[in-house]
Amino acid sequence: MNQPILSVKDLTYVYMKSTPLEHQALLGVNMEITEGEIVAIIGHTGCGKSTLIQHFNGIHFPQTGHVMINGMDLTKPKLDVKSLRRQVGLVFQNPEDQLFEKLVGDDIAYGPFKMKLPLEEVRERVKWAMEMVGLPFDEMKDRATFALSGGQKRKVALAGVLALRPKILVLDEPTAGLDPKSRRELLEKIKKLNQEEGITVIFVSHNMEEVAYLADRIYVMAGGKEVCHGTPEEIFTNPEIILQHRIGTPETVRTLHRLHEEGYAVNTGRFRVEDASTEIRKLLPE
Amino acid sequence: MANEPLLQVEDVSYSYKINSKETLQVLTDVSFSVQKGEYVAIIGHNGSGKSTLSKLLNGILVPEKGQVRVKNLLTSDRTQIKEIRRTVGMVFQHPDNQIVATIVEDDIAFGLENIGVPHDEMDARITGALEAVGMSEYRYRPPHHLSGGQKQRVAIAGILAMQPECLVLDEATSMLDSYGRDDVLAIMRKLHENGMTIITVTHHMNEVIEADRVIVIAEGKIAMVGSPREIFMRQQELESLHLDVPDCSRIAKVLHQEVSSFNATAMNPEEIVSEVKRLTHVNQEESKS
Amino acid sequence: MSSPFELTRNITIGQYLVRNSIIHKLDPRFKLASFAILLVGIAICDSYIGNLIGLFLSIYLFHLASIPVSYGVSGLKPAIPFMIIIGLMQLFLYKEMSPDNVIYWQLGFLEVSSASIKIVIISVLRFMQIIFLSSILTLSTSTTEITRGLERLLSPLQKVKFPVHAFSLIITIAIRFVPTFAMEMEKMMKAQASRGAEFGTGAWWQIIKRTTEMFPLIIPLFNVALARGEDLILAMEARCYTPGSSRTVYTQYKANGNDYVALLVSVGIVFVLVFIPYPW
Repeated sequence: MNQPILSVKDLTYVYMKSTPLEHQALLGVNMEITEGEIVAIIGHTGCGKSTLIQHFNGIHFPQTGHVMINGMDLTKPKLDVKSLRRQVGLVFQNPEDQLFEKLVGDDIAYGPFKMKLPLEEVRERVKWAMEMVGLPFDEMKDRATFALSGGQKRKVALAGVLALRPKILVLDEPTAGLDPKSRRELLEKIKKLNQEEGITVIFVSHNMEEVAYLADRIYVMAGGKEVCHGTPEEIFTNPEIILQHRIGTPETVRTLHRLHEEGYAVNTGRFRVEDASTEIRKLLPE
Repeated sequence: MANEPLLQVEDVSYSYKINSKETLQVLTDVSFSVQKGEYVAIIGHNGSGKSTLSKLLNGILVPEKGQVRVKNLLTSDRTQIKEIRRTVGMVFQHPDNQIVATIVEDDIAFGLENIGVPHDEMDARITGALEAVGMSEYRYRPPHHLSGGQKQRVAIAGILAMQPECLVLDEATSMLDSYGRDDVLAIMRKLHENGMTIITVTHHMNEVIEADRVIVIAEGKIAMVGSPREIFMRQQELESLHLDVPDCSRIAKVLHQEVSSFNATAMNPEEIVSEVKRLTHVNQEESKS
Repeated sequence: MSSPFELTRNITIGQYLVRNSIIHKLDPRFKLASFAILLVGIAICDSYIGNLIGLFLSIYLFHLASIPVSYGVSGLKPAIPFMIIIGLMQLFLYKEMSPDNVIYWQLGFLEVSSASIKIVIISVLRFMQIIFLSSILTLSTSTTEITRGLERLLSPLQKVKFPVHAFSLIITIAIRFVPTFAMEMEKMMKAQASRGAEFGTGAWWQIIKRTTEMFPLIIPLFNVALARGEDLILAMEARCYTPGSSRTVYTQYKANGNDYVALLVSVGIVFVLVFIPYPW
């Protein structure tokens, strides 16, 4: 029924092709993502996930295989890369590094200006993007970027991508290096963007608590391939996959698994703290 | 005096100059001491002053007011600075920014050359340090092809080779993925078991579970001190300081509210499981009798 | 299709390739000395045949070092614009007052003569040899070895209070951060491109436009470099580094037969290039 908004078929990619340093990053990846989903991609460092997501907005192009995004075929030589990059917003790891304007508002406006939008619209977009990430427009737009805290800088960088009004938001380790408070805030904003604005979110993460909180579905990658996918319940309740690919699991899942091993009847898929508590509560006497 | 502490921080204050008029007070009257062989975690959110504090411990920064002593040497005494720094070794946050050389073994040798270790002794020290962090097979490799966790292990080896008495890790795991972090934590555990004094500065709560003592820093002051168990019990206070509590502590607390005999201080999966076992076991005994 | 963002792809200088070749195993002091001697030879040699021999020998060195020649050739690419500019300048500006110099074309102070054509060809050959030789040196010698070798070669200068160690440490660190900054730059280009940035789209006379286009790259890169530098200083200090204080040395080199052979061969090549009177 539903056409996927993003589909990847048999995608391969070799870095530094035909030099002594060449190495194969992707060995045939398949993936289908429906509009409005939040999908997590997890796997070891070097499993190819960063290379994969860089295909999604035309940083890399498929060497073999196909990538279709919202009806655009990325293998087509006459691809409109600009239009692709407006539809897919890509936020890199530590995006605060990429800020370069003196003022917060100017930096966020960089993308829309490059799109040659009228001033009014640029302003409108900057305002919207700032509100979406929780930076009050009037108060923050004229602040100096370099004097912000790490968490705020990251929000500015995210707003800079949101101002392009993408349909799909791709994030590489969105919360790495943030302290717990900034992390929680950022995760809430991402969830809100998905729920209220209907933006499809694809993110890469090592933090399983974060994956459990955000993701509707998980793709597990290893050695340049996707090895399995499913809902967090399906992935986290499968001890074989977890062991084989050394997927870290949320602490709650670990606790439930341990209980399960001890012969207690618990549902190991109940990984939210409240659910896990209820689950364990059922075991205890009155 | 039976046991002189290894590290003494006495009434230390520190501020940064923002410009000619303004200064930013980072630490105010902080005092604590660390005994030899202790495992201390310093925790606080970004901007709490914890990183500044760690840099005061080996004389990279010198307190504005108060003093820091390492084995009774004042860090303000610049003639003793080499002795202080070879006693208190330090590993930093960014794996990439602390590697000097272009080959792993040369990087480890860097510190040894600085403190004048004779050439004949270096080889054995480098071998030992690399073994301790499980990186022996990477000895002749260039560091820029290593993963973040591996680079951080090299950085630790670079310090270990200098044979310090105390290792300070300044958010050394915050840029690592979960495997890298687990590896580094395992090394810290092993070093501690062998008698090394460890001070870890972090905002990851799961990393402080293994510490003997936790010092919570907020707004440049010590907000709480205690064992991890004691600290995790004060969930609301921690949350008001923008810090997290491990999920297992949360679960234990919820369960304790409903079943009062459930130990509210359980803080990891193993402890939750053993509590469940204890209570269900008691229950079975009762129903039998 | 290769990605437009693989910056590290064509930088052959500074990329050490681990091999087990005879060139790799040379004592870095001797390798550097041989390199310097060969450079002098190439600089002096001004005959076609001599330079062709030099070019052939430098290509043969790739073979000896077990490194594909194609990799060395790809290192020429970034240098082509410079070669063209220098070549054009020499072609039109070089003047020689000798009886057998034939002038083909003249306009004001510009002239093309048989001597200027010769010097262009010789320069191109020299340039290629220098790039090949430097590539081989850096591909077959870790930067640590290069700086250590350099430090040892320069150590007599210590007597005249030249800070030899600090000097070689500066070079080591500079080289050590080349791949790091290349990766950083690559990431920055990708990140700004995904925000809609375009680089190098203005025509070449729109210097201001082309320069301002680079701001989103240059400014963040500068910030990152600064932050990394600060971190590095702290980390070095924490490991007891104090400039100018006495240190011991980890790596000690012992030269063997091959090293002396390499040095002698280099001297021999220089004689072949410089002192044989080739007909052209």
